[in-house]
Amino acid sequence: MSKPEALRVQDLEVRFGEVRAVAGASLSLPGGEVLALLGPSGCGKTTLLRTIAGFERAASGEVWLDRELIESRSRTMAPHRRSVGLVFQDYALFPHKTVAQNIAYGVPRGVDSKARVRELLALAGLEGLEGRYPHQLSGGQQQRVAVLRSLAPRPRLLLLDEPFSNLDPALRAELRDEVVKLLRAEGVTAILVTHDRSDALTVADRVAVMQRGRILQCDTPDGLYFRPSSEAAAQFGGEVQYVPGLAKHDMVQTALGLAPLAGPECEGVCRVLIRPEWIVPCQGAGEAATVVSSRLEGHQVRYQLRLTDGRELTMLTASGLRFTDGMPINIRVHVPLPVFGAVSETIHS
Amino acid sequence: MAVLQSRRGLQAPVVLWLPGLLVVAATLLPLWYLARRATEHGWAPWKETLTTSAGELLLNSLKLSGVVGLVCVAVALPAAWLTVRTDLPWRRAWAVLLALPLAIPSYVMALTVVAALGPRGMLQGWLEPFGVDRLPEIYGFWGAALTLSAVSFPYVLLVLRAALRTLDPSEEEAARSLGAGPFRAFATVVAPALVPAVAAGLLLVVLYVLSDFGAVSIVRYNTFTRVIFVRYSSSFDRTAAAILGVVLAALALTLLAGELFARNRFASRSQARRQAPARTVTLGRWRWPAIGFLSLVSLMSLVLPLAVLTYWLVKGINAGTAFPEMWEPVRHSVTLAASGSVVTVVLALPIAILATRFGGPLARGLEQLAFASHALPGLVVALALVFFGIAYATELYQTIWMLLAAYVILFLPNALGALRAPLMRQSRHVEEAAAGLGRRPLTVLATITLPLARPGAVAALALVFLTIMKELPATLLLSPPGYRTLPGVVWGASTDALYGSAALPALVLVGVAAIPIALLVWRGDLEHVEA
Repeated sequence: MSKPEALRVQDLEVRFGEVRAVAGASLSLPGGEVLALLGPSGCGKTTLLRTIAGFERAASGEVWLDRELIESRSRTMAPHRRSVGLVFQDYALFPHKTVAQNIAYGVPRGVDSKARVRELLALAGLEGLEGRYPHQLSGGQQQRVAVLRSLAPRPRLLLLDEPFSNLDPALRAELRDEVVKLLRAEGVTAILVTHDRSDALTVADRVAVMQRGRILQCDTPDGLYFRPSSEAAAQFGGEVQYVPGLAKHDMVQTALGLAPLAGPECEGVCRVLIRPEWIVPCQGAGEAATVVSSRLEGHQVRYQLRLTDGRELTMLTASGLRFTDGMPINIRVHVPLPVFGAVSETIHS
Repeated sequence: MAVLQSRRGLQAPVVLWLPGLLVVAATLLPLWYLARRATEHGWAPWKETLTTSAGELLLNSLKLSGVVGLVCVAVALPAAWLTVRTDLPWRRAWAVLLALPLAIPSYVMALTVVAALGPRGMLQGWLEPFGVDRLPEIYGFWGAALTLSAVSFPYVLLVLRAALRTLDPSEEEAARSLGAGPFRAFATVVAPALVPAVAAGLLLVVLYVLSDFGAVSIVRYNTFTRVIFVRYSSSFDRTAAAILGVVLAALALTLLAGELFARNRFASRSQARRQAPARTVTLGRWRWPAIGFLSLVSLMSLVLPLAVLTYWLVKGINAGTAFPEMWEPVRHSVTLAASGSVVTVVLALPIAILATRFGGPLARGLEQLAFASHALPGLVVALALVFFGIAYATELYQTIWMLLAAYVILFLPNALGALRAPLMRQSRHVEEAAAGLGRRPLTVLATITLPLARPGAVAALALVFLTIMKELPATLLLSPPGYRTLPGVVWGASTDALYGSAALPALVLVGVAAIPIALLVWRGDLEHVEA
């Protein structure tokens, strides 16, 4: 890896009484990158974040920040010494301070806080709001002020806990892009907790998928989508459907023909992941199938297809193409396919 | 910095939990000593006291609190509904008017009842030319019930108003959309949701009645407090007073456990309520009987008492009565109330912050212990401090400091109640955000938490000021000799049936007490007031 490692979480475990909220999670994040922590509610994302920030204690495992041990069973660094910023789901703006005072709160002594506040407000396009109190701001403005406040002291790491979940869906995507632009402009290393797949895949450099207190996979959005490490991780990257296959070296044979493998070489009977949008209609070559039904979903069309062996598959295509029910078509897959359950060659060699 | 482990979130700094621990321990110390004092002569005096008087007192107290509780709910429930859920004209003004009797201490109310309806009172004076020389007996049970109902219904009203306002209107709307008529919806959805609040209000009244000393003494009805005071002031052996004090404290604490239970159920119901304005009921022609009802309540609880006092004042002026000098008791009472409220709120602050901003078993335990003295009658606390002072703190006994200590013990729960509400409303993440921005725990406390506590502190100051102004038994028992206070002057004049000379200090007292009430009403904080 080219960039130096900023954060390392090693086999972290956090308990609340008998409950293991984080059960042996590990991840690593290079400096300046934005990591999305993706998982269903209750999977331990928020607890992991709060432990990194210093608000929960580790039962075992370690958290390292810039090669410094900040959390383990026996050692803990107080939250205010960590230089780890946290943006809360409810923003937690100081209600008795103005926007400018909120943002200036964490700026260290010796730094011109006025200039820093001006700079950040300009960066976010919020000039003119300096003197407002939090209750005089819209939800989107509050959210950006909360982010600016956390950025102001130039933290070593910024954690954002579901920062977009309280926002109007119409504003959401716009604000998401704007906030990530802010993070990039400041060059901050950041973790963004979300349960929204599109948030995670579109804005992050890497995505960590979390389930039942464990990190299933920590990878680029590309890697998670095209090369999931397990069936559990695969469903976080997008819609899944499986067909049986027979792998040999770097190819796999399925009902849709012979396709290259997405993963390492392997051998034998396996389950093959074919996301519905990986199937494309084609002329002449490819496997024969019949359209059973179709449904327009706005920007895409969802087809139910039946193959010659009677198996049914789902195909998603752009809305421009329309086939009528009962129509025979030819299909193929156009990406290398991930497989699960086969014997991996790499183990033998 | 030494910190105490809390299960989740930030850890509470030592500057909070150490003072909190000390304050709660100090409030419990005199009570422990009262119990010791009551048992130091063995069980023989217990047997005698319990067999001779405790049974009758218990019966009297229960009878009185039962009747007063029922009257209060019967008055407060319709009044709360009318002022929260209907289109009654001048709703806000009615709410203020109905809360104002809080400025009238029970002994002043009792004084007006006796002065108006007693022998040689106003009514009898007016009826004399018609040959009426005897009125139904106002001393005893009915006088006590009338007086205490008039002074304590506002507490129930405040609880019920708050409950009605936090009730989620969509529950009622759901019932209506499922085909229930307005009456069925009220009976099946609204009324059951109010039950915990009614129970809490009832218990509040029962505790109030049990701890009241002034009113029952003036109308001469034997309850625990009156008999304790008589035993205390008339005999050399004060063991009987101590024993009855312990019994009363035990009774009150048992009831408090019930109140806490009701309050918790109520609190868990009212959480996560949508802050939507409830649909108001159109009264139509019914608004006239409604206004009539509320006018009658205000007349009985506020207008008549003030009119009676004014009548006796004018009569006294015309008759050339020697009024007591007023400047000194006013100055003393205001000094006591001001310093007592500041000390109480400052001492309550660490406990309130611990309980609302940090949580954890220690903070919860401290708060519950501090709330326990909520149930303790002023007379019992005063008695405990007298015994404690004589035994261990003779230098402090009969000084202002002892009196202030009694106020702190008695009114710490009131201050906590008022401090809590605004602190609870803020997300706990606020302090975590400040810590995440690199600020040390003490800086966070000073720059974030304390400013958040300010609105609650203002309400708490006003509330404790009010209750100290009105407090009779502790002021009576613990004031330094010759230290004249407003309650003391009123009490002295009323026990001698000198209505004319009691009227002036009583009116002044009500006037001063009305100032913090006006402040609370103006700020909209009155709903946090508790007995």
